[in-house]
Amino acid sequence: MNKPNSAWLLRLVPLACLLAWVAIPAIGQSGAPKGEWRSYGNDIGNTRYSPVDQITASNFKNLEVAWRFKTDNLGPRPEFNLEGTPLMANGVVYATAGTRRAVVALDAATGELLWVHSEREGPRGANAPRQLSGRGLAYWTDGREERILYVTPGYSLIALDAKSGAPVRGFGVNGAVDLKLDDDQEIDLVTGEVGLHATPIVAKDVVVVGAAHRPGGVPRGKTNVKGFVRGFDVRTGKRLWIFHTIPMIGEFGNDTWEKDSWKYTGNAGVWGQLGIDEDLGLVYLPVELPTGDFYGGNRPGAGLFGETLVAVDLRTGERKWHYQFIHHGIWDYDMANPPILLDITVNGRAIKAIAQPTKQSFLYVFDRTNGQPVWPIVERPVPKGDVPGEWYSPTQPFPTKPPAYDRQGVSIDDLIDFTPELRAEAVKLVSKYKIGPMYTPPVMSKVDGPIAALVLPSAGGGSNWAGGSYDPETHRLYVYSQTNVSSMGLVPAPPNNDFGLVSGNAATAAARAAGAGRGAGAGRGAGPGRGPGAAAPAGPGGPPPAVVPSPATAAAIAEGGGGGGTTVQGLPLIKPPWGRITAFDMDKGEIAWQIAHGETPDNVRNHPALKGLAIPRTGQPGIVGTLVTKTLLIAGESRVTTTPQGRGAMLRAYDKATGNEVGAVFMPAQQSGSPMTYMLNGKQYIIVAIGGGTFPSEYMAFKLAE
Amino acid sequence: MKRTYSAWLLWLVPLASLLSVATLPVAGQSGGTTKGEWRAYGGDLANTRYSPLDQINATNFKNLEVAWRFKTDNLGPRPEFQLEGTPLMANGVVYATAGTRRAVVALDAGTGELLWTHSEREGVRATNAPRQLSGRGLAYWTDGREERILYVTPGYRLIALDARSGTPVAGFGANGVVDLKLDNDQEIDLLTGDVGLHATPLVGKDVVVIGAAHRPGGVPRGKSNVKGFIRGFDVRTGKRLWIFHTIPSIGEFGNETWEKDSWKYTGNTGAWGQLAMDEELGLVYLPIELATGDYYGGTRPGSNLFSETLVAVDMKTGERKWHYQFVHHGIWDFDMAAPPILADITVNGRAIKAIAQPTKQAWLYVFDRTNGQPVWPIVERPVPKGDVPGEWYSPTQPFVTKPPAFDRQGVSIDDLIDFTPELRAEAVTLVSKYKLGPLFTPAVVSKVEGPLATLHMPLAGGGSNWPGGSYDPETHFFYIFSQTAPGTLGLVPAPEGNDAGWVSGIARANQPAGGRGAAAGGRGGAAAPAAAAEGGGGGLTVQGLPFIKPPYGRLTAIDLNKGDIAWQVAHGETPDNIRNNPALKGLTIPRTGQRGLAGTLVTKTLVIAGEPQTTTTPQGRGAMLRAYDKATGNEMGAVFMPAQQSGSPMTYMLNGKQYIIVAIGGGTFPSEYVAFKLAD
Repeated sequence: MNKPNSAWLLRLVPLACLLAWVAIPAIGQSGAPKGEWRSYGNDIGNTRYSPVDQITASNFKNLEVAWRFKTDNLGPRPEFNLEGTPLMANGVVYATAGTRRAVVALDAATGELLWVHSEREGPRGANAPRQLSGRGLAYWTDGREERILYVTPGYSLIALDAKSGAPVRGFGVNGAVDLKLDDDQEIDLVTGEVGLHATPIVAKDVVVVGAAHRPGGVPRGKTNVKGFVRGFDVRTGKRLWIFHTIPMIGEFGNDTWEKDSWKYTGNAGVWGQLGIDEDLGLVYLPVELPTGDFYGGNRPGAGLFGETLVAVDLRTGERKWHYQFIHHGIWDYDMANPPILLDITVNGRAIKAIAQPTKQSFLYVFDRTNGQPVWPIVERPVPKGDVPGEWYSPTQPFPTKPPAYDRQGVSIDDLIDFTPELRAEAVKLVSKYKIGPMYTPPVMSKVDGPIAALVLPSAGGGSNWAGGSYDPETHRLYVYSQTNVSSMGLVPAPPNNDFGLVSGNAATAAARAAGAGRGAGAGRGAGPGRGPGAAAPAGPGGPPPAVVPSPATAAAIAEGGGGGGTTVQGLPLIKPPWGRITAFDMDKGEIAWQIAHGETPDNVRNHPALKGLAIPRTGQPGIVGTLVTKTLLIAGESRVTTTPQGRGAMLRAYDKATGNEVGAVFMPAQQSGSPMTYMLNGKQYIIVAIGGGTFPSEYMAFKLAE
Repeated sequence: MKRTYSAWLLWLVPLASLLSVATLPVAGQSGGTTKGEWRAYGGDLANTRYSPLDQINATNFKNLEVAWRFKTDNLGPRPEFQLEGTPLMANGVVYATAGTRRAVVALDAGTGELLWTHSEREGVRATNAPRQLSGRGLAYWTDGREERILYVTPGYRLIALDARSGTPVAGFGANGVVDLKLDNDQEIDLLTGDVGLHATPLVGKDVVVIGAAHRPGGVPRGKSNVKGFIRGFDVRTGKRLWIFHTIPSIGEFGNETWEKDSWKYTGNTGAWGQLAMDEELGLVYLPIELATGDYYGGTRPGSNLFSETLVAVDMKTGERKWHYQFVHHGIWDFDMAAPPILADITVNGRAIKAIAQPTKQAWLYVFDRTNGQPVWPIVERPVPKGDVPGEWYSPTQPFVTKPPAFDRQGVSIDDLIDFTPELRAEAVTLVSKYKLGPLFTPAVVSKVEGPLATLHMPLAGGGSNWPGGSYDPETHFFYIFSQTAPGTLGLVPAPEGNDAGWVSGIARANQPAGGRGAAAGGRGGAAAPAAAAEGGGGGLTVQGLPFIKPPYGRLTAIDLNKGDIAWQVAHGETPDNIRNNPALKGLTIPRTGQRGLAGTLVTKTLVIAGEPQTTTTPQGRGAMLRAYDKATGNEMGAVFMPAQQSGSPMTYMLNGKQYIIVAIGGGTFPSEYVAFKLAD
């Protein structure tokens, strides 16, 4: 195995004696009870942390398959895109899976199927913007009754009895709340464009549900469903509150929508996970951008609460504070990552903080009680574009600390330089594109150049929906990110589409850009996430990704190459690493260590142009969720390569203090959903969702041999 | 593909012109499946395993593609490797049992999508159960409004589920459950009582009939055991309607065939295979197994009615209408494993409502099912008497005169392999320590110096076993797979504290008595002994080869109007260890067929059966699902499966497409159902 290249990486050895004294926050806030895993992020602070430690650095490599659960028959056809993290409560594993997003209850020790539930939603399901198995579900109990809650592809909230799988009669109408109703707007029940891959989140008997839409590179028009967020009574399904992510007339922020654009503009939902602080009684909403991922001419103004972190009251939905990360977003840098709640000590001051990883690879950190940045975030001028009709914000907020965890912006220095020839080819290639620093806006695509702006991080991140992990004992935050460019070019919208300009590439035929409907928009929908990174798991020979990345990047990624987009002799345009894991010391706001994650892809390892060169491990682009335990940081590879055990992907464990790899276990396919862990009858289990390419999705459970 | 070789096989080309005018019997009786569905284990209550579908035919069979697969690993606490089920299909839903806990699953028949699952956690009761794992399937019932699924758990409880939701039917028994260990005219320990069932319930006219099965009986735990009584229940309420005492109590018919009060303690004598039903005649047909002790009957002197007897009882009352005993005082484990098949035939111009019972002994016994009269003479003939101390021997046994046996019976020197003179010589040496003889040669007391055992054929696993055969009501042809395999019958004294007297075993120097020794598998499902799993026939080998001649597995077609064999072909590719055996190098060995159990399906034009073993195929390690022209036995196509057929195939039509489902698995391959259809 290649050692990570020290030039790329920072390493800090923490002072263990200090860490041992750190107090552990209250249960339910961060950290799991009793070795269980009761919500998507383990806790409603999204730490993805478990204090269990039977699986350690010394034995990780000895992990064996405890059981496997194949999901092929949970829908009318096998699924290849399983993004779920299962829950475990009282010895039962709950998960969504299959093309119809069935819910399954499994014996946590054996994987035995206890019950299955799914909804047949007909055309409503077929029209849904967020199809397939989704990311999971929520668990609720009052100590007596246990319920499972999830959102169907057709956007109904379902409550099931956790013991039998039967819908809870007293919840909504026979167990279902139609989320297309009672949403302060008219939504067509069959065709209305709203759905959700994310899970509901439950606290204090309130279940909060986000909203998601079709990928927005090529909107069908400037008008769309608005992604309002609502809270419901977990016992009855009664709506308790709604938060207008696009403020109506008279509401705060309505003035940031010029020319009455708030009226018709939609999206601005919350398609990732939410966070909740039960003690403070606040829900944290990472709101995405409004309609149009790369063109905002129809929505002049800063566009609150587009790309804004909003804290609302858990009981009433009333806004307590907010912070807009991007004013008038045109890069699809919406907030995909779960916000993480963390109690840190900065310069001796205890802070109840919230950390928001982002596609742009900034980690925004606030005092979660009031929204004040923990370290200064400053408004800085950004390049202005010249797309007709566009409204440009003169500045954008830049966090000053902690440092960005992945590269930002594209310059000649970022291009591959394995050999002078490759660098020269890369320079030639980018000469037809516009390159620049972070927040360089999209351009009108011209055949003779610029074809597009090359943007890094891509619309897929940086980091995406899988987000990071946080260790409440050591105050370390971990996040995987990919180093990958998007090409952002605009072409006129097709006839009968009033959007004006949509994502596209003049060089690859206007017809395709206009007609395909998705063009450079990168993907949400059924894809593994958004952006070019989303396509990566497909790998060689796999089916085309459900969502088409920008034309310039699609080919390279589908070929199984390492990172980047536009390719040079089949190699990514930009230097490695193409995937990395970063550890932050959140008390200091500094990077503690950073390593490449993922073996060098086969097509790089075997590339004739690189023959004789020693290429350190490059990492792999993709979307990778992490798990942190007492001693380990655990993450699977996002791609398959040729391993010593055959074609497959490795589940890797790192010493969480140093980033040194301490073990790896073979999986027959790449990680597609984030790992979780639990303890049952004295045994620690790790479950990870795998699949993609030609490998149908499944959940794999590992444990140590008896 | 190799042609079958003519020395083994009979080929008769039927007269197609005659067949085309054959009338079709009443649907639902013995007319095969209707509406393209498959509503009972055997296709219908007559166990025909016949479907008139013909979208899949001789010309396109080879183009079959996998429609969907359903893996069963997660239906219990561990994967299963022994899936014997035949699914049902009704109203677009496939129902099946699967998994180590015998879960019931409902699947979308078009896609295999799991609609619901149900299983029972039976704890110690299931751990002790004599018939574990996934069983053979379930029963479907509807009154046109309500639909129910009925099955028997490993712990011997009858469960009724709502077919649409999978929830137990509250009004049936106690919340959907009838405890079959209760109300059985005998005391049965709820946790340890030796009774269970792999077979499915059978439902007709709102009566559900349940059989009974026990541990394999080569080495019984003693002479006493639970009796395998048969009962009928009201399908709506679960109320017991009747019971039939397969071992008659005092004062009941046949009680005198149990000498020395042996009826009191002797058990078993259940019906562990499938039952059949004639709704018009109002009769249920019970193929009864033998009594306690598969190879030694000294504790049960007498002919032992209704052991190894086909009994017709009234489906409303359980009253016996007629019976026929196939083996008097059985000591060969020739119990009736195969489903009886109802067939309306015409013999010498006379229309007969017949019943045909395939057997392990490779005879097809055919009766008038209205009265139990043999269609062709069955005659009592003297059989060899043994000398096992305490045994009671029947001087005669019934011999079927027609149709001819569908597999070889008895072992003589002529049966030994003769690929080369050297192999024959080795085989002769090998058998010299055994007793040989014709059918019904009894077991011997095993001696180290010889005889070690009786070699008999078919062995206790058949011949044919629980998958049984198929019957085509249009052509009146009957089809069955059988294996050609000898077994060893040796007895040793029962272990200390066991009052069974003698039990199955082979004497070995320094080896105490007991254990299961030579008892070749046969019921449970453990039908393929080690040697068979390795690819050859026989439990004894010569240079790794079966010591008897091939074929080792065959498919026989019998014209039931004539009582003649119409054709016979070897079924199953020659096993790898025979194909690659150095002693056979340079020899041309025709396809040998394979040992094992293989259920058949008959359609408009084809007989379809999978291979019971894996070999190295052109597509890799796997087994072939083969289709034969049902008129001639010519192979018309074959489709690769990643593992051997473990349950019998079925077929149905849905939205204009014909599907075939077959259960596969075994060895290191966890069980699954595979559905095939033609490409769209």
